Order: sequence, then structure tokens, then C-alpha cells
Amino acid sequence: MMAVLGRPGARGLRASYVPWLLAIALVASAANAQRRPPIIIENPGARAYRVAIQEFRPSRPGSESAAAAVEQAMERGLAFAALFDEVDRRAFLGPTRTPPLDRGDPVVCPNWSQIGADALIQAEIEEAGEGVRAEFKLTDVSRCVAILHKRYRITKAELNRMGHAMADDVVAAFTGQPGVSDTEVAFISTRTGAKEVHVMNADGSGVRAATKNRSLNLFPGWSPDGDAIVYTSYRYRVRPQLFLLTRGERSPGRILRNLDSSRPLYRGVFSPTGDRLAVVMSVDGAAEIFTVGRQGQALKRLTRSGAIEMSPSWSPDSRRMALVSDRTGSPQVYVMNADGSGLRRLTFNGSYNTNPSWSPDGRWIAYESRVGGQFDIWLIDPEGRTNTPLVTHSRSDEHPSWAPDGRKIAFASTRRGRSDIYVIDINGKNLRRVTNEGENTNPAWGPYRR
Amino acid sequence: MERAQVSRFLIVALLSSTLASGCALFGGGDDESAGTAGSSTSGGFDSGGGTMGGGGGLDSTDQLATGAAVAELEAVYFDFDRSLVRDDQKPKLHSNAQAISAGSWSTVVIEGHCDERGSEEYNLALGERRANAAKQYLIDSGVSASRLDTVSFGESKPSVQGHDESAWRWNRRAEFRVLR
Repeated sequence: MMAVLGRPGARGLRASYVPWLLAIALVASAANAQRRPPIIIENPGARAYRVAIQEFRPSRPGSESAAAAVEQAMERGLAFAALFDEVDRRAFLGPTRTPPLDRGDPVVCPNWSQIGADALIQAEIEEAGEGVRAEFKLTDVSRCVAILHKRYRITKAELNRMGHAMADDVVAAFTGQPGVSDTEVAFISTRTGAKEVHVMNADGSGVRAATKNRSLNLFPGWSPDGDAIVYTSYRYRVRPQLFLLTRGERSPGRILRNLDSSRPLYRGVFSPTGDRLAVVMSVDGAAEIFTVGRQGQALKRLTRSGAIEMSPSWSPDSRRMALVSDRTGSPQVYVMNADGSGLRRLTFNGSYNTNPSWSPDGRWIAYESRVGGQFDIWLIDPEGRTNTPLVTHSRSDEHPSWAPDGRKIAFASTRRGRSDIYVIDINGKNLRRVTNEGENTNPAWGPYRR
Repeated sequence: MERAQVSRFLIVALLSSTLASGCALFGGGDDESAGTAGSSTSGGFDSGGGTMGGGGGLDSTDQLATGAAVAELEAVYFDFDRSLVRDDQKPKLHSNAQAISAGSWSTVVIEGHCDERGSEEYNLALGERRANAAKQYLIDSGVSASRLDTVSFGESKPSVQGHDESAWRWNRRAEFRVLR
């Protein structure tokens, strides 16, 4: 499966829909000799790695601008990871520009470790027709071994993705877990007037409107393969129903049409396996949680209290779900099995706890809690033993969504007045605002891209 | 040594034919043309700019209009996180019930709304409760249930803009729209 889908029968895809021809290949390097990365971060954010970056080499005339663009994108990707300090090039003892990598010149490691670098980044970029190729090398200069050596190909229109992919691979080489600069966040923005679904790169670049129906659109959620976004919209008869967007020319539109359309469908959430959705549908005046197949088959009701039950968030193994119920008179976070059994209340602090989001590693559930007159993001473990604020602020922080690496969380905050999307590391560091126009809410961090 | 490593590169080219192969998600066409608002098609989302489809064109109709507002039917207001009809709002609902019974509207749509605080999803459910509370009051006052419809907009259609109680108190409400 690729990231681009056409409607069945669609006649091919325009060039602009073929994003990253991409071919990423293999690692190599001393990987054969050393089977695991030399450096594992035990405490994310506790230490910055110092990297020396040689200017990316255009491998032939005409490739200069591509080389510069990829280099800058990689540097932005590294900055987004917030794990690295870049060594000033003026301090270099070795060459400031990457030498031709196919010459196989050995890296003179002492030249780099002497200036305090942990690693050296080198790359050679070649623009050829509509494509751009890169050879990329990361050397651990203390052990003097290449810990990443990889080639990339991409279309000229997506140079930023190439740089971000390099940065994410560098993060993986250091931490064992890829970075997330080459991921996307879906969200709702009013920048075009109505509340519309938008998609941006995780660092806030490349914002584009994914809906332009001028109705009311809410709660985008990704399919686990990143190829589709389910969202709630009032565009059909001014009633909330579920719709699907796919990468490609035309999207299927309203889904689950075989369900009773007189019932409001407030939200859909893909299961981690992608074959089912948890949906919030109103029955007899109360929102309840169901699961249903992607074609609308095998509808199964999970909650039946008559109170409000909503905001389902799957555990990464698909076996459990966090949810919100107000059966005790105030909205609180609960956990249940994915068949609706074993319901258990998780939050007891305060009178208003909502929007649970289960972490990719399964260890935490982020949620929003009303404290005083506003909301903060908290983390609780699924057994309810540890409950701690991620970040507190005198304005509201709401709607947490985990990055696929489990290291960052996106949320919506009114901390500068209007609502914007922010990202933060789960150690509470590196807060970063990633939107700047309109009111921005409902962030949904997408999966790793392929 | 490094030359040997380079020679081990394996370039895996994922053919663009894979891109075009597509995949049926939820089946085909839209039926939004049956709706009163919204575009009849939807574009995909993509990493290139400007690839979204959708209606797009400006038009002056309110895409979220459920019916026409009429002077005879007044909005009723609620307390924070509550859907009980307040005593001070009951006279208005009683008067609305009489107007609906006497009127010739085919359907009255009751819209439930919330203030901006709290979870948007929860506010959708709370708005539905408010609309249903108003609906039940009308039914108890003799209006036929078959002439009543409800919809919740949660916090997305405030009647007064603002970020404090002076706006919020007017936004926690049920409104009435008529289809003739």
C-alpha cells in the first residue's frame, strides 16, 4: 500500500498526486558489525547531542539549490526533534563541505571529536529531471563508524520531505526511535471562514485545507496507514455524519450510510488495525459508543448507560478503549475492553475530565482536566496509579494527541487568546506553537509515513 | 572499508504503479447532493498545495441553516453543564408550544447549543440534551412529536462572540427554526 489512493476506476494520478516516488533504501553502514545503535537515550531531552553538519554537496552543477533546500529541511527536522546542538561550522577542523562520497575518503574522526562533535552528517544531492537523489551519511566520530548510510529519492516538489526523512533517521540512529518531522497533523481551522479540516506538517509548515465545504467540520482522525482521515461534518442535511478524505483525487465522502442517518454520528475513530471504527452515535437522546466495520457492517453497541459516552481512544493493541462517560453526573475518563466489558473509572480528580488519548506505547492516557476555570493536559497510566500534569497554564490546554513516537503531544491552547495548535515533549519541554492563523482546534497527529 | 559499504546499497524503488492501484475505502460516490448544503464532491488531501476539491465557490447561503427563524419562537437558556429547563425559561417554552400548535409550520427544528468551554465532543452531546429537554417540554405542552426535530451544534454556533460569562450565558441555549 502506498500513501496515495485513487478512487477505483480513476484514470491514473496527476503528477502532483504522486508525491514521493520515493525509494528509500537501506541502511548499511557498520550496521553489520555493530548490530545496535551505540547511543540510547534513557531520558529524552536530558542531553543534547552535538552534531557537525558538513554543507550538502551538489553532486553536479545545477543541483546547488536542491542541496541547500534539503540541508535546510534536515536542519529544521533536527530542530523539531530538539535533541541536537549543531556545531558551528567556523569551528571545523575538517572540510566544511561534504567531499564526494563515492571517493570513499575516510572521515578523519579526531578532527570532529576534538571540536566536541558526537557525530558528523554528510550528504550529496543530485537533481535529475523531476527527481532528486541523495546519499546521506551519519558517522559516530567517537567510535569512528558510520551509523547510518542511506540513499533517498524523491520528487523535486518534495525536497522538504527528504530533509525531514533524513532528520528522522538521524533521530532513529541515536535513540532507536525515528523522529516525527516527516509526519502530519490534521486539525480544524477557521482560517478559511468555516471550521474546515486542514492538514499540516508536524512542524506547522505546509498547511493545506482538506475540506472546503463551508459547513461545520470536526474531529479529524487518521487511519492507521495514514491514507485516510475520518471526520465529522454537517454538510449532509445539516446533521452530523461521518465522512472520509483520502490521499488522492477524490474522496469517498459520507461513510456508514447504511446506518440510520436520522441518528447523529458525532465522531469516528479508526482502530489501530484499521478494519473497524469506534463511533459515537446518539441513541434515544444520549451519545453512546459503538464499533462498526469500515463498510458499515457488524455494528456493535459497547455502552448502554443512557448517560453520555463518547471520546473513544483505542489502546495500541486494539484490545481496550479509553472513553468519557458522565454517568456519575460529571464527565470522567474510563477504560473498558474493546467489546464493552470491564468498564472501570480512571479519573477521580476534579469534576470535568475529557478527551482521553492513549499513547502509542500503551503506557499513558493523556486527557484534559478542568482545574479552576480552565483546562490542563494530564497524563494517567491505564491502571490509574500515576496521574500527573503534563503542562499547566492559566489559559486552557485541550484535546491532546500523541505523536507516533510517543515523545511529543499536540494540543490546542488558548494561551495567547485565540486557539492554536502547540506541540510539546512529554517531559514538558520544547513547547512550540505550530499554527498562526484563525482558530485552530482538534489536533490529530498522523502515523509515521511510508 | 567505506567504499565497500557504499557498494552494498540496495535501492528499493517503489514503483509508481503502486500509487495508482488505489484501494476501495468505504465505496464510491457522494450523496451530498441530497443535502441542503455542502459540496457534492470532496477532494483528497495531499502533501502538495491546492489539491483539495470540494465546493469552494462563495455563495451567500448559510450552510448551517436548519430552517427559518421566526419572531414567535424565542430561544431558551441553560446553566453551565446543565440541560434542565430553568424555571425562568418555562414561560417562553410554554408560549413557543402555543405558537407551534397554532402555526402551520410542517416542522420545527430545535437546535441545542453550548458555550465554548470544555470538550467540543461533550458539548455536542450536551447540546443534544438541551434540544431534547426543550422538545420534551413542548411535547408535554401538547405539541405533536412528529412536528419536532432536533440537532446539536455544540459550541460551534455561538450567538454572542466573547470569552466570558457575558457571552457564554447567551450561548447555552436552545433555538427554534421552522420549515414551512
